[in-house]
Amino acid sequence: MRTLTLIAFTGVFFASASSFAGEKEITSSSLKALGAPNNPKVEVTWNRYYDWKELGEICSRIAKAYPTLARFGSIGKSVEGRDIWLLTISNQKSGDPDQKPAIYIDGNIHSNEVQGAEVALYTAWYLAETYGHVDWITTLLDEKTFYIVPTINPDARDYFIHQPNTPHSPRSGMDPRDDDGDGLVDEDPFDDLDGDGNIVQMRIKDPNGRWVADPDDPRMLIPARPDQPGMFTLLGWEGIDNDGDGLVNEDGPGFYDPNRNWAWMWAPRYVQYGSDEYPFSLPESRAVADFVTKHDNIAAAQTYHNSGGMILRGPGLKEDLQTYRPRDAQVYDFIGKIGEEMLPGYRYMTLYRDLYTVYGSELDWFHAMRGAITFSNELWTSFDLFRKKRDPDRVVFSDNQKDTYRFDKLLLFGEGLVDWKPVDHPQYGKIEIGGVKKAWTRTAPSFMLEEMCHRNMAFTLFHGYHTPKVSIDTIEVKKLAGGLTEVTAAIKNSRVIPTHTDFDVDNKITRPDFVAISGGRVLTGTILENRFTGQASEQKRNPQRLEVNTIPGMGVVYVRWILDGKGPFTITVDSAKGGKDSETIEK
Amino acid sequence: MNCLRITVLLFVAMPFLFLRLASAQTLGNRYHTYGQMSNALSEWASKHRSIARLESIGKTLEKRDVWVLTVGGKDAAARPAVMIVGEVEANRIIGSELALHFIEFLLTNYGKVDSVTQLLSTTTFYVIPRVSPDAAEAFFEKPQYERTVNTRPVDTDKDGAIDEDGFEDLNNDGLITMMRVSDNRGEWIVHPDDSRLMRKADPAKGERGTYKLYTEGVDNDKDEQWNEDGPGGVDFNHNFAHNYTYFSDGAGPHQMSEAETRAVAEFAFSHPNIAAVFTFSSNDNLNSPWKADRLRGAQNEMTSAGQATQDQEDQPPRFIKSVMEDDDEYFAHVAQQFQDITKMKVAARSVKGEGAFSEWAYFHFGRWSFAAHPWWPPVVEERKDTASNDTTRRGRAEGEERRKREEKPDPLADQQKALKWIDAAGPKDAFVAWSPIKHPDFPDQTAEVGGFRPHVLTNPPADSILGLAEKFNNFLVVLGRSLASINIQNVNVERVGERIFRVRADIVNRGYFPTNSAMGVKAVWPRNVKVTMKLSKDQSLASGKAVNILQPIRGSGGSKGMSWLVVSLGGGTIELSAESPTAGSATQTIRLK
Repeated sequence: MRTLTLIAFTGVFFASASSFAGEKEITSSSLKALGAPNNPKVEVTWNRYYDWKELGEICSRIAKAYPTLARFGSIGKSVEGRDIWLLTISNQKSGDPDQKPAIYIDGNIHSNEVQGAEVALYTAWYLAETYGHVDWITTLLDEKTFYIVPTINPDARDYFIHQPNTPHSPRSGMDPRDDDGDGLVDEDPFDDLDGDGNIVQMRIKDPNGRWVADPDDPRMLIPARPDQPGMFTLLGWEGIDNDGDGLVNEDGPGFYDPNRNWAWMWAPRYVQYGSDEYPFSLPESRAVADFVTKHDNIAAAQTYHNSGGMILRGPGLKEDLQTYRPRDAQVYDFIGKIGEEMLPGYRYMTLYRDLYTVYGSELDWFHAMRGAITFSNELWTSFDLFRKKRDPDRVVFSDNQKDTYRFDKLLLFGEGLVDWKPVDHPQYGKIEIGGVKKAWTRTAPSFMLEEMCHRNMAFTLFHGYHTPKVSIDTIEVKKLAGGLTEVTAAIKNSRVIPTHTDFDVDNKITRPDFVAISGGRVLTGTILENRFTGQASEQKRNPQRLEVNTIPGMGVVYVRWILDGKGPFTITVDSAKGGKDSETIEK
Repeated sequence: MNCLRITVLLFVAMPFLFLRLASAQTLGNRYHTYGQMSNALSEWASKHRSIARLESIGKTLEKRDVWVLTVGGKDAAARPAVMIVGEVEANRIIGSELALHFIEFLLTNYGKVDSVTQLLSTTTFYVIPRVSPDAAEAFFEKPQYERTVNTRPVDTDKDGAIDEDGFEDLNNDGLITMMRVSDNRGEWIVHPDDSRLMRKADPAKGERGTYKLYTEGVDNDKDEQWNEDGPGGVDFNHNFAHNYTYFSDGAGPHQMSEAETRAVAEFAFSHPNIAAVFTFSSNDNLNSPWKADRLRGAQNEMTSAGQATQDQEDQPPRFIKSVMEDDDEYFAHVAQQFQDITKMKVAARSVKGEGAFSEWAYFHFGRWSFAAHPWWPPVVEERKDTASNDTTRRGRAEGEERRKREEKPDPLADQQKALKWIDAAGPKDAFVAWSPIKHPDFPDQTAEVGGFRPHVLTNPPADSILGLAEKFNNFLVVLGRSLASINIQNVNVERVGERIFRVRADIVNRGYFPTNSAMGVKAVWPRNVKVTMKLSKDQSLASGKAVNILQPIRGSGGSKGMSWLVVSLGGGTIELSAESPTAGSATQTIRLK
């Protein structure tokens, strides 16, 4: 049944794609609602969750419709051989995208946390469609690059979409592991007892059980009061003992946690569950790391998860606090707090302190080993349900079961839940199954998805906007005795993110910024420590090309040369993360 | 650079040309180039088809295969195994040779010597003789230098330029040695006792330095550093995930970043029957056995820059950095066996690993992991009075020596000892006498080139290889015999009532090692013994489980008693089996009566 529906959807796409392809504009008499494009070249409906093949098709259509703005490729293959799609969005006519300051965006590292892919892909689509229509976006794509990888766990994304699951499974990727130490891999997964595509709860009627039906919504089970007789015993998620070891569902697909497999502060399994065999044992995370390492223009990153309404930054563990140096933390604070405004119900949080301890996470790897300012957004929050004022004591919203059921009743008309129904169970006998469907509690319903996409994109565009932008601000030329010339230049970064984080500078992770001069024989080259007193440090080797450790956010670095020559002098600045600039002066 | 490439090509091409020639020879007292080693391995694999299998587990950047030779027949994967890794430090190619000799020993004695035939009927050996072949090949190339890193281009000095300042052979002797340059800002002086050695001047004694000391070469990139960014690379033995040092020289961009390291890790994880690992390495725990840190237990040392943060002490112990208490008696005993067998006496200092393979094999992979220095320059004993023959006194002196060694490295003392050996019994050309050269970076100073010949302090003269190999072969046989081995004993069936039977059995470990180490249990990867009770349709269990995962069973006859209540309508039989990839398997059919 499910499969049929999906095929039908795909069919519609092909039809729409072919009818719109190549047409420049469709006459429309409608009033454009602000936000999404009114007559997009690439028709995409942002109210559903696409599988891997469909994501690839959308990517390909965007790239075909906007060949100078979008480049379609793959950064590697998954365990099961699926391509990990990449869309590079930037105006290629204004410069090589790989040479512009860039932000990297991915989603869906946890396979059940599907909507990150839609948010990431919406971003690519919106940017391509809006270029040339909204000035701010046009400038953004002229200056910056967006590397967008909608899903970095394509195998298990498809498994989540096409196979029976809970809202929380499988989280892992699909490489089989022996979870229960019996020498067999993935031999006892969930079982969809009624064949409806959802893994829900199992319960058995039991006067000695400690659960009762909630009087307000009998679909919901709540613990009996201490003095109240119970009605049910809960038997866990839908499944049987497939391997006859007396345990139910103890070894499903995976299991490892792809977001504990990254090289920074990776910890073995006895410290960090799910970290897997060794850092980057998983081809998907390794593909991302290899790609990012080859692109030293990436100054920022965003990875999308669900759920709980959070804008998370590292460190993932307390022992690693010093990796987030004070000046770098200020950058995070600035962007994260504006994010709280843009994303009502979301909180800007530090992972280890406000959520839990994580070793070997993607965001810490980006920050510590690539010097990229990185957030992970936890999409969807139960604040979105009734948009009630937030309880200041509560960290996350997603534990609000009552509201989830009530929203289902009032706005989804019961579509989000499986009503309890009897089934025969080979081990438990006559039982009942029921509860939330896999598409409910962690993913947004259709009518809220597009808003989620747009707001989170807006935050990420703001983040991307603040990747460093270096330029030559002023040049001063002074004639010295003996026919020598002194040239002083101010190199400016007009965005909030520095060209190198302080942690990057201390560990020399990415190459320094180069500020060079030509047009004369350079006798000395110095970086000014104090532009008023002239206190400076000399670079003896290659003084014509000065190496600058970092240009701080909204900051300036003064350099000075003494040259033998008349000019004209050309000054160039070349920053991997901050872009390039060049200026020639006659005298 | 081009020159190097051509040499490499020649080496690769040569084996095919000389295949026949090499085949007639045994390993003998010599060092083998990668090509010669590959020949020997493929020869063996085709000659001993029933017991040897050769496979490549990955390719290096220079397209050399990393070979694994499996000694163990077609049931190899079903038997407990020892993994043997040579040459984790690519400059110590002797480890690679000794690993090859062990293969030769097993293959030539199989079917002829009962103890070897018997051993191979219970134990599999996976031998990876050369894990970092690109780096090891520097032993055979000119100019020769002690290379430990592979050929991945790395900006070692982080100046934005890659591999821009390597060595140069300034005196054209085909060797990279040292350079001393007269310089009144230098902190070195010629050693007063031996003019070949340099030592630091001691200002407290009023000494003034007169030399600067460099490795042989020029400052190619004019940054006033010499040879600070040569070709490559990443050091295999600094690239593993235990005790990894981020951003340090040779460590690579991250843990397990290299084709070689990943190939070895993947091989290890795909062979769950590996029970023990032996590594030829200076991270030696056989001459200097690991000791459990009983006071501190596990430690909290994981910070990026090696700095402990203040609040760390409040946290529960997380990272295990010293051998688990329950395991250390086994490490101590095996070390004793090693010392008794090899009689190698005062060994070189054990080096604490940073991203080292052998430590990873225990702390992360969870296997019994042993490592020993393959060789070190022999200590030439000073002639003393007759009392030196007194064994107790000598034993005490050795103990003293060992303690001292563990305290503090003293490279100068090591060099002095090495020179003593070279003068007394070592290879004649082991020390290149200092001789003046014209150096472009020091036009107005006296520059001299000289020093120990590369590899001479890390690898023995070829004529001592066979003797060394014998010692290690003997030890590795003992190690192979020590693996856990499970059996089912004392089966007892008792009729409790009509159709109800109490079945009891002991799962016994007849090997030396426990069925899992304490670290193995922590690390999770090595499997514990699984005991399965297989019933027929008309049978069921009234007590006990059909599938049981056991805690480790001690060796030397340790056992775990088990009991089930079986309800059986028709009597009949049940099947009881116990297995673990690292401890073997046993099955018994039990009649209910």
